[in-house]
Amino acid sequence: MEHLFLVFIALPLVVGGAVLVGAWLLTKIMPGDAAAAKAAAAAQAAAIPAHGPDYARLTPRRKAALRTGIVVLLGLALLTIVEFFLAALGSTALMFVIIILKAALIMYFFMHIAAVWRTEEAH
Amino acid sequence: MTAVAESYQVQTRRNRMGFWLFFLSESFLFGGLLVARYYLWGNTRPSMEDTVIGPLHISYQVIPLMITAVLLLSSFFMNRAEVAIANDDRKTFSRSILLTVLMGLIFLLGVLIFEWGWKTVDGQIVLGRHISPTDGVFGAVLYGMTGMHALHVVSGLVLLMLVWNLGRKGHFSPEKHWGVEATAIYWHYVDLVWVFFYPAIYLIGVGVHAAGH
Repeated sequence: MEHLFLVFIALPLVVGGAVLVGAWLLTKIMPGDAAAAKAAAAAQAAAIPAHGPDYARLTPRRKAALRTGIVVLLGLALLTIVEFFLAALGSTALMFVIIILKAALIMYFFMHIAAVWRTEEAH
Repeated sequence: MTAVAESYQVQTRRNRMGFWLFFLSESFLFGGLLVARYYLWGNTRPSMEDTVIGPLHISYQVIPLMITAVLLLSSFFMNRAEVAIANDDRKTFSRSILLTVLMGLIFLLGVLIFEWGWKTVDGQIVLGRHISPTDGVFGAVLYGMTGMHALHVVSGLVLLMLVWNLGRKGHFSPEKHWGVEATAIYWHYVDLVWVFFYPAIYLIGVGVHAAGH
């Protein structure tokens, strides 16, 4: 009975809670900087046209977004490799930590979970 | 800001919230499968023999690692496509979406062939199932997990092709591209689910041969 409780109640609550807490902490550590993004967007709009190939090539925000994508990809790759080798050591607890880290990275940087609470459009 | 643009932003915010509630409901589905895996398999998992292809000796663990890497890479290209359309760069958007689709297909075929259409006999590859859905808890849970995830990959690929086609026809702009954003979030969700499934299926527990279970 205790085993059933652990598997069906405690495990989903702990794992789900850890993912949500991890994502929430990330939003606190690195909050969506709506004001700064708005100021940067206004500055860009003043400097370069809003549409066309020049806009596509020149925006620093875009370069920053691409750089973030590459860093996140490298982080995920590194964590996956570490996870792979931890499996050989049989360290399940550490693997769960890595799973949570990977999930938080994807939810924050790729799925933009912080945008759900954003009041300004700072895409 | 015009009233139309403002209302689009408000609508997008509502869409985002609705989409995340949808993911919450989906997480119960995948969470249920994960719970079934940990309850029924415990500290074991189904395993195959290592495979020999010509002079190559391929460890059983390497192929899932490779297809996982392909899926992670596809998420990067999806992110690149989203950034491109937000900056009105349609060429990069189109190429990135197609690369995402290609990698999604490689992942899908990798899982289908590796798990559903391939077995090893004395280390050699033979067509056929190394485990079938009726092979006890191992087969049922393995097919349930990989099948449900593959179904989401397929629906993600359909969405990607729809978005690519709409983008090709000139839909979406830097200001209005919720369709691309939603598809990107969906694709990353598929990736997110695999982050939990990959170790649960291939890494955690002691590998045992499924036959007879």
